[in-house]
Amino acid sequence: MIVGEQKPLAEIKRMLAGFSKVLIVGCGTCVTVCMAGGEKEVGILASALRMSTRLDGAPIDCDEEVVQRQCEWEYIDPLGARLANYDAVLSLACGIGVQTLVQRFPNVWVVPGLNTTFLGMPPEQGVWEERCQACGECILDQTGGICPIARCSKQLLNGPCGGSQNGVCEVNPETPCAWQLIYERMTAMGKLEKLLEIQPPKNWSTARHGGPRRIIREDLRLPEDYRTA
Amino acid sequence: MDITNAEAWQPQILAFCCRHCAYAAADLAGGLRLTYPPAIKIIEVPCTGRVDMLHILRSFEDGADGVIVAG
Amino acid sequence: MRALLDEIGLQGERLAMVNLSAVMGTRLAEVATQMTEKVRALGPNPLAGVKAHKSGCEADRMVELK
Repeated sequence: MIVGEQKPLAEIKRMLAGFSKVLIVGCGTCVTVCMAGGEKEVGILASALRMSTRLDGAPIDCDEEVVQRQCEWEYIDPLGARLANYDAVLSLACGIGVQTLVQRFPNVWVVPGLNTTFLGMPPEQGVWEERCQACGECILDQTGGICPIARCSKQLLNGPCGGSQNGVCEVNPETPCAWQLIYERMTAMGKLEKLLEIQPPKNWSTARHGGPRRIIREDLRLPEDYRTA
Repeated sequence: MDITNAEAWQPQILAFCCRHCAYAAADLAGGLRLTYPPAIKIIEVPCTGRVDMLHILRSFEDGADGVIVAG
Repeated sequence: MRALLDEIGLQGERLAMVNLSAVMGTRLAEVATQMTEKVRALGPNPLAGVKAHKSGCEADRMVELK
């Protein structure tokens, strides 16, 4: 899932300074399950903002809305009629949701209430860890299903490095060494010899280094006359 | 809902009480003829696990001076 | 939760969380008295007398409709 974290109240108030009617729009997908921007968080933030801005002497009316998925036209289109009643929208979706709103409703001022942090999962309740960097060319088959791009601080393809000490990373002792994890798993699976293959330099053009990415599926695309967006 | 009164201010405190512990304790306090301040307004919940941050925030937003969660 | 109340500008001490069993009637009366005294010392909810925006929020209007 896309993991996000709510911005501090003070920063959100700075972004909304000068507005008096704000619609807070949550998202029912990733940020709901990472408990950063779902219905519950929208309610809590709206109440906190109403009270806090009242105490500051510049009250903001905060209404609440949650759409199932803020990154698809179908889900955000019904908001359109409502948005005229507000000075600004505070989106509690990831950065994708914010930009989807902006692209669909170009006359509406939209600000982000979350910091979109990474692609990851919760190994235990209340903890989220990065698992994927969306590099565009998956190599999990070579590394026993543990990603050195997302989980090795140096993104090494032929690790570990000399900074791997007692199974943890020299960059942050809270981070297990990804290459230690890979070695252990390959050993357990009886596939250690696979690590003897030297991996050539990765083609990073499929990652961010090649600029913004795009996928076009001609088999799914509508015929030109039917395209709307 | 406005539970504040500017003149002759008396604190208004909401107490979210678990049916099985604190609410029963409040019953017992009544049975024992113990007095406790009238400022406390008890809301019975099936379990204090039901009490959400939002319940507490809305209590303050609607004017409560204090909130107790007892379970 | 108290940290959030502080961040909002409401004193976090206005919230108390206590553990009681069903036989602790005396303790409940004690907690109630202590909390009343504490809140009395803190004074009224700082939101009291601070006007909200004229239209209020939708959540409030829904309460009024009921």
